[in-house]
Amino acid sequence: MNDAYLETTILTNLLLKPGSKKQQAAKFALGRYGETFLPVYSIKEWKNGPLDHYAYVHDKLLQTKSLSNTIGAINSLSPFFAGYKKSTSFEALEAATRLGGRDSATISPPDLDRQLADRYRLALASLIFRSWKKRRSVATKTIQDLDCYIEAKPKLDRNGYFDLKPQKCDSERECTLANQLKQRPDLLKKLRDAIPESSSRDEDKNRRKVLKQLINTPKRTLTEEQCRFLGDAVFAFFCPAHAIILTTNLKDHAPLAQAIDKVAQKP
Amino acid sequence: MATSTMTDTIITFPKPAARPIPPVRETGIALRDATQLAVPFIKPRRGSASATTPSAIPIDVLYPATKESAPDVVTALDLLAKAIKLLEDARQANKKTDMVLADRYVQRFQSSLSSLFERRSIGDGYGVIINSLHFALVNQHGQPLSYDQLTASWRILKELRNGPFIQFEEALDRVAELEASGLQVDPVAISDFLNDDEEENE
Repeated sequence: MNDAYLETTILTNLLLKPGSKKQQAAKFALGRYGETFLPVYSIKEWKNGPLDHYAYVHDKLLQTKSLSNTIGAINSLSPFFAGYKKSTSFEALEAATRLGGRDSATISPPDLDRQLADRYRLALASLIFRSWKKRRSVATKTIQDLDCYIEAKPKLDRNGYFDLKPQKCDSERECTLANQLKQRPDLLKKLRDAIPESSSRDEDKNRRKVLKQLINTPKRTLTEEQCRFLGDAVFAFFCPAHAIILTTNLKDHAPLAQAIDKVAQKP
Repeated sequence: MATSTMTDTIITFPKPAARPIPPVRETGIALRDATQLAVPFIKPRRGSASATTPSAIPIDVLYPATKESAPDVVTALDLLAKAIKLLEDARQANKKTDMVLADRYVQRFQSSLSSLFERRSIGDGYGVIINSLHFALVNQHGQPLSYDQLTASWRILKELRNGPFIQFEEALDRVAELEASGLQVDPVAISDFLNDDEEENE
């Protein structure tokens, strides 16, 4: 199989981790394949996940005008409410801005804090807008457009805060993927069986529940929320037969892919 | 120039005294001294001025160094002029394959970036360009800039000096041009804000 189907983590590493080893690895991996496919579902999840988190950090920097207060605020968030949050340190972020010469040693701490807040705020805004512009050019083809989802460009409101709406699909209509999913109950059963029944993870429980509904009561409408709960199963289901699923999260994707005779690989 | 048909005497008009004007290069317009020109006012186009927009009123006329002028703008224009000169000198040195000299000019240019960023109250468009150049140099880790990178930086700073109140979205186009020249314009540490727990641990 010489083609790759890009999962959300790959899009994240390519666009939101500039200059990192993970970005390098993702770029290098893409070069191994003849064709690379980016499903719009990836874009949707990426916008609603990591891109939204960057926008949140940007807005917090704008609100506080202080890098240290922003870090304090982010670090205080429960991981339950902020899945993409990571503990960061002021020192690491400050060190990363040093250019030498007349450096931070000559600036008062409050001024330095404010300057760093502006530096990262501007850098985040720049990265968010530029990565949005690049999103459809990371793969050789962007595929599987979703009728129920509008890919709207991020905006800044009049106060300078990010507005990423819409981040969810149109809830007035059934999920675009529903029809195709319901046509293959055999695959849905295999996917369901690949998720351990004993798993305590909410992600697994929700996924099993939605798959069960699709199998047993196909006439019921698949809602926008349920589509999101399907998550990783969507990639396994919709990955073209001649492609591998490229992801950094093999732990979740490999069993699902394997269940329906597909392959997941890391960069 | 006037020509007399009777005596074939060519009359030339006196030229003004030479002033330290940066010469016109491949793009952009010369940045002239405020006292030199008397040109008709042309209503500027909507959006920010750029080096390719024929702005009739020189930037130094619009923002003369007087007591009433916004200090940040005036200082930024002065700093930008110096930064542009340094990059021009670096380009010339690079063209002559004097890479050490070129890098020395870049080191001095690099030293000016903090002061330029202190004037970011001008606007986020201005701020994001200066900030991107800052991180581009951080990410070079001391590696000299190539001729293309020098040219992109120089050209964009010239445009910025000509239109310091650039709109943010247009400024992002300039940042993209810096990136296209091979500069890494984003702080690598930015991904420190993002959790990697979703990924399988080695």
